[in-house]
Amino acid sequence: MRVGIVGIGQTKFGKLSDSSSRELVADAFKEALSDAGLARKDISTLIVCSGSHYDKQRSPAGIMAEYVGLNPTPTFHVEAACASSGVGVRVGSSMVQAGLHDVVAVVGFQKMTELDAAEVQDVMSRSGDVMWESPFGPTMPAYYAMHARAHMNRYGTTEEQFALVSVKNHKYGAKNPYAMFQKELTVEDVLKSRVVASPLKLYDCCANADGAACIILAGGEKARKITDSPVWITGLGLASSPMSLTSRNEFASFECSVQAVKQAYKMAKVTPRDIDVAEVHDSFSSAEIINYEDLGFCRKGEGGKFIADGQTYIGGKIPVNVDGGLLAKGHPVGATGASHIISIVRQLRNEAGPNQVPKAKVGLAHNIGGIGMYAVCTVLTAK
Amino acid sequence: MEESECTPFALCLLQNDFAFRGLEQLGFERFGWVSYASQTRISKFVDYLQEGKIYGTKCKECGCVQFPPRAHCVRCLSSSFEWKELAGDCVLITYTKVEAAPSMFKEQAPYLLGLAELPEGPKVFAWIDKTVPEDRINIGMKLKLNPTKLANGNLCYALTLPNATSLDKRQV
Repeated sequence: MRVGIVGIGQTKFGKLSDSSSRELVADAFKEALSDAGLARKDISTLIVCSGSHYDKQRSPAGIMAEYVGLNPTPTFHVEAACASSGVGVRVGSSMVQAGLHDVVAVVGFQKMTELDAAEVQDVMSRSGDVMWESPFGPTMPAYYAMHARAHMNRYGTTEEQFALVSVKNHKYGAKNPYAMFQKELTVEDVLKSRVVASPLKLYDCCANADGAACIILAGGEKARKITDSPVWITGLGLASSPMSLTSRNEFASFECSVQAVKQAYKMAKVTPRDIDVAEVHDSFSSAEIINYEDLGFCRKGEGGKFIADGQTYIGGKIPVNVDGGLLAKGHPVGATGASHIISIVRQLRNEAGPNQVPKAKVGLAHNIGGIGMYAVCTVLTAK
Repeated sequence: MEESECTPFALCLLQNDFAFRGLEQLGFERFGWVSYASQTRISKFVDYLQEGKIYGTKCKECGCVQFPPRAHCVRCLSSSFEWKELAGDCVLITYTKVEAAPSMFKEQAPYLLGLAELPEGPKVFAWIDKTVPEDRINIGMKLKLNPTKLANGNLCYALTLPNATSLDKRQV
């Protein structure tokens, strides 16, 4: 039985100072119910996803299910850092397929802007191996910067090519009403922004944000009964890489992405050429270039040239992150994976407005967790 | 508060607190500028650092040499290991200069983080010492992993130029 996405809902991403995390979750959940034409009683389980290191609320599924009025419906929490809700959709999909639940809601959220600087710093400094790496003060940008540097050294990729990714994503983000930054940038703006962890500068990095995103899943006939236009999950992939850099063998690539996308392409019986539109994890501009190669959009080492040639713009070989990506949308960790998938669903339903890729039928959502230790890939198909 | 007034849960918290205040023999909290772990089976590593030596672990079952040290073999999961001194020669694989540092590293910032490979195979993640001229840093350069003593009294290691002597006598 195929599993279909029958409802989507997402809040705006950004500094949403007037809302708590439960309120954001309720907004996204309500919008997804309304999009699917369902009522709360139709939901047979609620999967709540977040990067729990940012949550003040312990075990957040408890309060979320209560707040949206779903008790005694089953609920539980899924955590895979930035890939939490990408993994949540995989879990929900398998529950539908197993026949345990017929309609599953997956909601990802994060409330990041209310943490004070010290709290954010503390979380950030423990994003890698706490025994052997955190004592040296690494940060998320530093880890990605070390991969970026390795890619530059091996393939001659330039800081200007990294900047081009940010320019592209901000161009599309400027037209996405859900994005945190709705303003275009120039290459010069990026290159002149302050260095965070060399070679990455401020505009090479995504921003912490608040937000929530919800996806409702149903299987086969049930999905068709709910909507005329379900978007089908035709490929799933999930893989891991070592968390410690000392245990990795490859730095110009995220090996978990290579493994996860291979599984997803195989299950969907597609190749990278069949993908009409993709959302890839651009927490840093350099990561998007590495992702092009890891996901098979271009050959190893040619990612820099691929963006320089404009191949990931609408009209290029494969439009990537044409909703603005994390660089323009912001990165509310737990909501990000579901948001990637929602953007692809909008494309496949022909509802992406000014950022619509013409005749998009097959899409790929790729979501990395943490410093590259989890990768989850989802192939979505319109028919 | 008298112990007799404590609820069992509060008593349990108190006992944990004593443990963290060092009433038990721990060890690993002496590693690095900020240590998030205190209890491990390989805390002897820090004693070796104190002696100015870098030690890895060697699996007694399959002979695999590991760094950072591990209580379980990365290859066969055997928990039978012995200590092995490492020369510390290494080659830089990648690096970054951290300008925006976590608050507890503000004093050190900016600092260079390097990842280097040891001839025995394993890799090390460490600061590139400030004695290494920045304009000479490049991927593939030869470095040496040297023990260091930090200003807060803790022990650590850093990547230095190959000819640098052990840094254990000076503060970085």
